[in-house]
Amino acid sequence: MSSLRQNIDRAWAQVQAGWNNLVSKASNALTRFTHKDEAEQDGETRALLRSTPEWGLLAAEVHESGDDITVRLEVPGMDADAFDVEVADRTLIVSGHKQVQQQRKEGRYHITECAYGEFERRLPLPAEVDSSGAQASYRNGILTLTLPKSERDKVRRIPIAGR
Amino acid sequence: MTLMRTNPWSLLDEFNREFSRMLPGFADDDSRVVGSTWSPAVDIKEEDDRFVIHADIPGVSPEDIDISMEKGVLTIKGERKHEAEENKEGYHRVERAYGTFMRRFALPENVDTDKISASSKDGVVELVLPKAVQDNQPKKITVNNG
Repeated sequence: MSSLRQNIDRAWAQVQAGWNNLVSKASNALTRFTHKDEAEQDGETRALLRSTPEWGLLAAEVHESGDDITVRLEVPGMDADAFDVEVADRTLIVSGHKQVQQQRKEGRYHITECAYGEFERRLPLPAEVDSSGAQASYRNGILTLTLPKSERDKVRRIPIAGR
Repeated sequence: MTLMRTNPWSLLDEFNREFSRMLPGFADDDSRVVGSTWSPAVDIKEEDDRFVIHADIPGVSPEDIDISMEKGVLTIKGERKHEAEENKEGYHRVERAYGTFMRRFALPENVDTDKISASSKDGVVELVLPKAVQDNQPKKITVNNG
């Protein structure tokens, strides 16, 4: 019986580890969407905004190479100029406003899983960056930012003199 | 004690079998979403003459998205691939899910399946499903005397 218990304990520990990993990934990406301009919207849009979730997943990826840091953020359905990106104190702050896209006002929603409104995502950066040299692009719903590292944090290869 | 010799995992198998039996949808091989690593969020709206589905599928090129219709079930599936060949060691944060995704919807009977259209913009796929033109007038059925 003890081996059965051990196996079950082990299986349970694995499920827990997997779950914790999932929760930590998801809760970092979990971003609040607010509806500041709700009052300016017409009745239908207001009703829709109230039925949409207040939290959305903006999954990010931060990659560091010798010279720069690349950040990719999943934010589908945006206008490229509706993003606001700034770097303050080794933190990248991406904010924006995701608008409801609909050709017609009338009709009723059966499922609303996508979040709309204003959002802000803060990401700690692994190194100091020179934000004046930053480049941004938006394609297939992915915001890609390339941030050159400041001179101090760049990886320098130091050649070893041969004997 | 004979119980000691039974394989503890057979209990789990049995549990699994019971579970699949309880959920017949999962036992049906084709409908199971097992194997896909993520599924997109959707909005489904019904208008007078059509249904409109918006699915958030960021980071997947439109040519990697496969939409099909079979036996009244609409399937959206595809694969998210890594964007660039990067040094795997350089990642400080990975929240994005890669791999296959799938989402299926049983459509109402009044959808005209031949006229479904799809488009994609900024990681959002829009599906327009027109309703079949129906004669909405109530029909009067007279009962004949035999």
